[in-house]
Amino acid sequence: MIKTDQFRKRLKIEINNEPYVMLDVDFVRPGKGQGFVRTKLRNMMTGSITERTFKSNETAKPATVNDYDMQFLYNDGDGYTFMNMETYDQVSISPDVLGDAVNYLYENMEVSVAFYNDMPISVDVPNFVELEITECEPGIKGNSATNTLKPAIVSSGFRLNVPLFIDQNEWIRIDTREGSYVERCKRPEGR
Amino acid sequence: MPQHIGTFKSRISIAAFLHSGRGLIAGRVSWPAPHRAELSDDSGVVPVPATIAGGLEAGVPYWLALRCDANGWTEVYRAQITPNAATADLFAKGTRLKARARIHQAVRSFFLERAFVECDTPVKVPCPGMEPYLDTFAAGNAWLRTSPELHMKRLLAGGFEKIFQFAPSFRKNDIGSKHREEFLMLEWYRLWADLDSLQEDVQQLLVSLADHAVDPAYFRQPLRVATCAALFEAYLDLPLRDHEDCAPLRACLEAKGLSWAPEDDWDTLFFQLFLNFIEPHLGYDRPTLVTAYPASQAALAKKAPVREGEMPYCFRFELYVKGIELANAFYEVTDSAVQRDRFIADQAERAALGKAVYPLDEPFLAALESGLPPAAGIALGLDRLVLALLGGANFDEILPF
Repeated sequence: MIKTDQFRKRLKIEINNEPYVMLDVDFVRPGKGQGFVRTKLRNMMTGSITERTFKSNETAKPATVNDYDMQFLYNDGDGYTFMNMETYDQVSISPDVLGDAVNYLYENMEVSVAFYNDMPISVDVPNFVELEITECEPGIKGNSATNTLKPAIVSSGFRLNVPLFIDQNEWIRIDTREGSYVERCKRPEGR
Repeated sequence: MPQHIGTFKSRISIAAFLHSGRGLIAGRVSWPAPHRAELSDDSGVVPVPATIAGGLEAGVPYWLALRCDANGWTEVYRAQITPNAATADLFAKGTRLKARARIHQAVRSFFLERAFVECDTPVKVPCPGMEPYLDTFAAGNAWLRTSPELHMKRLLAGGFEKIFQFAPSFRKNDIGSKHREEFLMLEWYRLWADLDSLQEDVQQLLVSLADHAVDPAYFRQPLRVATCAALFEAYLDLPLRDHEDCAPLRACLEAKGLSWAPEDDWDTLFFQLFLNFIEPHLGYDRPTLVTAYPASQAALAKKAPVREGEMPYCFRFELYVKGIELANAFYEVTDSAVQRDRFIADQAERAALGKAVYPLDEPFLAALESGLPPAAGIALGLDRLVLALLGGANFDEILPF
């Protein structure tokens, strides 16, 4: 158990069988009475943020969360199958857990998967990924404007807006934090 | 190394130099642009003349003294500044630290102008304050005070009518963004006064300090006043009828998705709700006084006569500014028998909590016994007030060390 005076940012604790990471920790003492530790916590499964106060003598249970490098293999309709790159163990991850990451997956892609009690709880993809345009209106040559956009679909099935000059089967780089087009790029090696 | 003894006796401020155009000035060199050097002291700024600046390494800060006379500029003193762990922070925070000092000055003037007497009382005391949950540091066979209140009330009983003190105080293990183990408490007391007088003082103090604030308009507003019971109604829809029945508070915590423990007493449950659902709203639009605290949290405040169907409360208020709890005020207990009973109850609670049990402050009780007319007093966290005025989230931003 972890005592409140050891609470720190990034500490992972368990509340009601769910893992939380501490975003903020501060000591407060109401005018009279005992001290409290005010925390801001992010639920590592749902991503939701909550605040919670602990009495100064209270303890919290540490949560063991491990990150593994994994490779995306295939989607069989029931779930997305990933392989642990060290142990070759395979695990199926549901779209709920994948969240936005589902928009950027491609075969053999390497991602980081957080496990809590042997259960996958979140999947981190790189900040930038390169994907092929599978569907869009034909590109308008010579139109180099980047502020006029048109809809497009990439190989993962994700829809986003791209500049008018982008053509079908071209490759683009996407910022996965924003879900937005960054630039046109070459087909990455081995893809 | 040249000796400079006596050299700077003729130094004038940069502000004075800007009038006279002659004389010896000294200060620090900074570089607002890569090749533009400025010399500044607390009074003003001048560009470093090109003949001198040419000899400086661009971008490097210096201590520099220059003389300007009929023959032009001469360099009197120069030393490179190498900010390190001891000084870098001080340079970075310099403007705010000086603003803090001016606020202290303004607070002192505020009380002196109102005929308060500035007092000082012992820091190392045999009885450091009885509150069950406050701990302090042992100092030989005595303790460092958690607040100056008992000694200041002895002064009241001894004939001082209006007193204030800038009081370094200590609270062991209180460490946070707005808590330090050593901090500066501003306390003031009035004989022949009640909480209304202190409310007036607080209002006027905030208005008088508004010019020092990043947002003066905020501090010029009339205080909002709300009772604890009204706040629980407003934010939690929870009527407080007493300070004993834990069931409604437990139910409210559960409804809000928070847990409680069987050993949590009524006050602890009260604070859990207050800290999570009420305090985060307090004092954001304007400074707010929270009044009529449960009688179980009276500490050294007089209790109000109990009325049927209402939560028993005490004459105590707290000041909230922008979500920060700034001050705690009491309409003081003046009856020594009542005070003795409360101290004894506190001793018992400290013992039950396994904490150091301090002896009764007999000289303080004797002072009450000698006769103390109605009086009111308030303790204000001066560092927090400065933080609220200057804007900031952490004491590190406004304290030098």
